[in-house]
Amino acid sequence: MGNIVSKVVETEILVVGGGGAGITAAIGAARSGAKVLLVSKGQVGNSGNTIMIGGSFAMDGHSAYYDYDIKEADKEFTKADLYESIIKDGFYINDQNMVRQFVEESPAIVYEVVKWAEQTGKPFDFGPPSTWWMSGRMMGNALKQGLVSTPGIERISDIAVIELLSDGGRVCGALALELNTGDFVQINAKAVVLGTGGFQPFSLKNTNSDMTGDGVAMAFRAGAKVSDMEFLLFLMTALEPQDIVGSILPLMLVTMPTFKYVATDREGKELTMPQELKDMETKSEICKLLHMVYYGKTITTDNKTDKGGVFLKITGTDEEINQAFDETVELFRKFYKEGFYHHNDINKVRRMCLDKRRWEVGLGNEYSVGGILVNEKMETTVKGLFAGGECASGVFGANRVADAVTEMVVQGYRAGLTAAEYAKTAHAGNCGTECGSIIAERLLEVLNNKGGILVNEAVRRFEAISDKYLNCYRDGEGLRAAIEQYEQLEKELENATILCKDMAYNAELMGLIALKNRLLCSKLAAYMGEARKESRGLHLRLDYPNIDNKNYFVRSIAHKDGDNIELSTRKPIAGEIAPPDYETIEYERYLLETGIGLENLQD
Amino acid sequence: MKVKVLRTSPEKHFDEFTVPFPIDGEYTIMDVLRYISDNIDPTLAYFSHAVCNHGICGRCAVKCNGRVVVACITHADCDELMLEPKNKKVVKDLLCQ
Repeated sequence: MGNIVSKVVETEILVVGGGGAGITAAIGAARSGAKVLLVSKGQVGNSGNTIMIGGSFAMDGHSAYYDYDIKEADKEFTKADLYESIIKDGFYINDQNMVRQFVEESPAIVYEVVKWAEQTGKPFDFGPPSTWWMSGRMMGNALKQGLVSTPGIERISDIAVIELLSDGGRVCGALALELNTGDFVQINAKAVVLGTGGFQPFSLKNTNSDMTGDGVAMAFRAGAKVSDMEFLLFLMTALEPQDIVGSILPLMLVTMPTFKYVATDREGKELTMPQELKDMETKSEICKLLHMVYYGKTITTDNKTDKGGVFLKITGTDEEINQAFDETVELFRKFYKEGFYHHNDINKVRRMCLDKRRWEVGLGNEYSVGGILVNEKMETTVKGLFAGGECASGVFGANRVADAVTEMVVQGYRAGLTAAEYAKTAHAGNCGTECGSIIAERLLEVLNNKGGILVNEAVRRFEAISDKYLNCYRDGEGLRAAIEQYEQLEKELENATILCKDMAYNAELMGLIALKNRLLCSKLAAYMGEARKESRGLHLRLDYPNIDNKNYFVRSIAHKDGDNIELSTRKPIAGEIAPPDYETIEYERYLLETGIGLENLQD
Repeated sequence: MKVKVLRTSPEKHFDEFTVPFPIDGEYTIMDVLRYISDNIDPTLAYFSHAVCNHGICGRCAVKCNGRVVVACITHADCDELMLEPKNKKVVKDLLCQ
């Protein structure tokens, strides 16, 4: 086939991912004097889940008040409060060195992003306790502002990194595919930073189509340890009206005190939660977890609605419904066209709710807590490879309530700084183009297949397995079935058939690469979920409903051993917050008695 | 509904697809494109690799019945759709630079 790599690019730091983690990593590395190449599967600053924000991020109120002179901030909300909240909301299995990094380093980078937004002429909107509200587009533009004001960063959009390149156990670059041309590009670098986001295994989407777990899967294949993949966060997502399916507008509504509802199954049976927890719905993003716990079980049974969700039976008066929608319109008026959330027509939904008194909603997976195992400097377990943001893991334990947006910038920036420091003494790798060519040629063999499964069909099968077995509630039998069926599908993909033979924007080939990565991440989630025989945080087991600290006060870890997956565990890294002193506790009792729920939804 | 799509390979031509969506405007042009590629012809090229599906990124624009629209927020609400690339910088089928 000759040399299939058509271009070789040399840089010091390769940053992968055009969202908040990648952009801040590129800025951090460039400020440290490194030559940086930032590549993105979508458009830098206009892709990934960063633009889906709708949306806020925060620092602690004490820092906002005293260090940044924001007098509306709640100065009583201290770093210690934030630290403790993250750990309680994470069911105590957070690595506390990661939590410390999040809390200590977030004020500076959060404030800097706020300033970039001001420079774009579209400032974020501040609200208590110390939160800035914005749309995803505003965040994307703010990050791009940071990027253009930092010299030394080259960027390429619409290029998919498909594999990391290693030399002597050290990552020294990557092979990428230019999507529009179908050309393979080898990028040689002293260090690679992944800011590639999470993975999403299910058929219901409420996120950008980039959430394919590319970075996590590539890191795993390159020998890095990954962890906590079983913890997937779902949130309330519209299943109707049809033109807004996938919108998270229902979540926005239920956090309005005047939007009164009771969730029911398809027969109208009410799904209740204790009043103390229901009261938290309007105050804290812990509501996402509460919806999973109290409504998610129905979604795994035949009592789900036709579209696979639950009904919100709207119980308020016309006046209350109108007030809730008026407040929602008001909340988003500054960021979107009046009456819209992103491009969802809020008043159309209002009319539907007033008319039907019912809204069919699902629980859609928006965020993966697990990912690549990193330390507080964002070093992975493989030399030369760094990761930050949603593709990394450790800060949020078994459940996230604090901001993923803060996570992406505070970890991304740190990953860039650490990678640049590493690159100062690291020598260049020794990867000739034969390294990239071998990978590219293996990939292209798929074009010769005939009669195998089509990619779209494989995607449907994969999502059906995930919907059935990896959803909000799992059990051992189902997770074992998921592993078996994922592995069967993986085998069939070796003979997957691609009808389009032309490499320019080959959507089937792109889909196959993404599917393999999603499948690997989901398989790791199923393995870890099967091994964790307890319920904790976002991992809800029908067959093991209690929290079991005696046996599972651990982080789940996996690494590649030849073609096998090696599972292990380790205790979370200790810190100022002592672990709980009980061996087991009923899940609901933990929710009621631990003081969970960072109050990040104050008006 | 009947959907005519301008294809660029092997040479310029229109392909016609029948998509079983009601024309009440509940489905979007993006839903139509996804239906075709999922169920009829997976070789169709349109902006699909980093789709936000909520009118945020604006990258899925196509020309629909002569007018450039953002596919994921534009309702497919007529019997016949004619889909063409949004500009002359065509990469493939409906995908432009």
